[in-house]
Amino acid sequence: MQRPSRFTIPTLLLAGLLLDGCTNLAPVRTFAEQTQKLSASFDPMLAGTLNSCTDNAMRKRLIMSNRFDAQASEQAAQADCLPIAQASIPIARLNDVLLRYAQTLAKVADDKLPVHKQEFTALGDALGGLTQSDGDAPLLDADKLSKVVKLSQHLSRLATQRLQKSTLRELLDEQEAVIIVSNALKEYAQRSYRAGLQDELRDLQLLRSAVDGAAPREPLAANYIRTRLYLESKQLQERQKIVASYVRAVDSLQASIISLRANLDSLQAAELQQQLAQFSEHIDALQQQAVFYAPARW
Amino acid sequence: MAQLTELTKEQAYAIADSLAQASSLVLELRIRQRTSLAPPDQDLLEQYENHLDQMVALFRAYGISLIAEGAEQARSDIEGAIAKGKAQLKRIADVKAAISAAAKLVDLGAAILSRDPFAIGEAAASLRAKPEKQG
Repeated sequence: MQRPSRFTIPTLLLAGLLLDGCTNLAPVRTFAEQTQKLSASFDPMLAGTLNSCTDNAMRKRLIMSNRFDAQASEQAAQADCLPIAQASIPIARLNDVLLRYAQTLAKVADDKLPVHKQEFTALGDALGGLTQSDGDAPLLDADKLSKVVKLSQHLSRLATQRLQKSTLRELLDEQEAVIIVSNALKEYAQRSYRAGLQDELRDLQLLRSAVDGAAPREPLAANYIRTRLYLESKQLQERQKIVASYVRAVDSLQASIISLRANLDSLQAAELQQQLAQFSEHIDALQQQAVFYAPARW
Repeated sequence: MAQLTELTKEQAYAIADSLAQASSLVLELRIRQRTSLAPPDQDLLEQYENHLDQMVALFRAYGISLIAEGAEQARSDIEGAIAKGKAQLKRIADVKAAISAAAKLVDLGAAILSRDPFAIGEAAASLRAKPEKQG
């Protein structure tokens, strides 16, 4: 504003209006929203990995022990599986940092941040109340006042938008770290969660034949257990598919953050839009599959 | 556990998987020999199996902690970026607070010019009510 003679209020207003159109942060918000959903869909895997360990131990004891004691068996199973529970705590933190990262992105990309209408209306009212020292005539006439307020609104909006952009760039600059963290979560899903499910499925198959052996003596108990085992194995197979869905979604997240960072100055780029649409699709698929985290039902 | 620290993630998981399969083999044996084995032998086999399961949990846990360790630096990098992002959000919020404070300062200025003690007191109180934040 050092040279007001060249930058008149109307041209500045016009410039402000034109620049406004360049900043639509909706793609950042889409990315942030899907990433939060991804994090929510990972959480049950932590408990699931532990449950695979304890459930498998309980199932084996229930069917095979000559002197089955439910409470003692549960305690023993929990003690044996404790190392897995403890080792999973830092993994929970990794998933949590991904969630908070996405939440911060969403807050920074909030459309309402650069809007200071309410604040400027108050300032306008205050300025409008000023009178010239010699009497009741207002210091600024209504027309001039409204122009000053509008211009201030636009300039501060631009300043805030610039700040938003640079903050987003700094956050997206951590793409390498986000890829490392999400790869660790993917590896946990593929190696730990899936391994637990595979142990369960393998032993469940064996336990079925044990129940078959007992069927002539105890048909009712055998039928009951056989049905439970059948339902549980179906559920376990569906849970294995969660891993595949999760892996696809993480791959999409990684491609999306790369595309988002590359296109931060051209957020409407078709390539980015397609990438984000695919990310959203993979998250939808993951959420649908995630219903099988729940215990098997009749 | 000193010797465990030599293991890679892949080795830890491979060992855990082999032990889990061995445990299943013992289970299979127990099921097949259920009627022919004497109860003490059955108990012994069950103990072997439990012991194998404990080892599986240990090796899996070790593999998990190696995964987490590998991402620890990246995690703290992201933490740093989140903290910076939050500081910037505060700066943006401060712009709003500064504009509001400016309006109140103008009120105070006008009141002083009007030499109206009541208006001065009112404007000053309003300014104090929400002090200007420091960026």
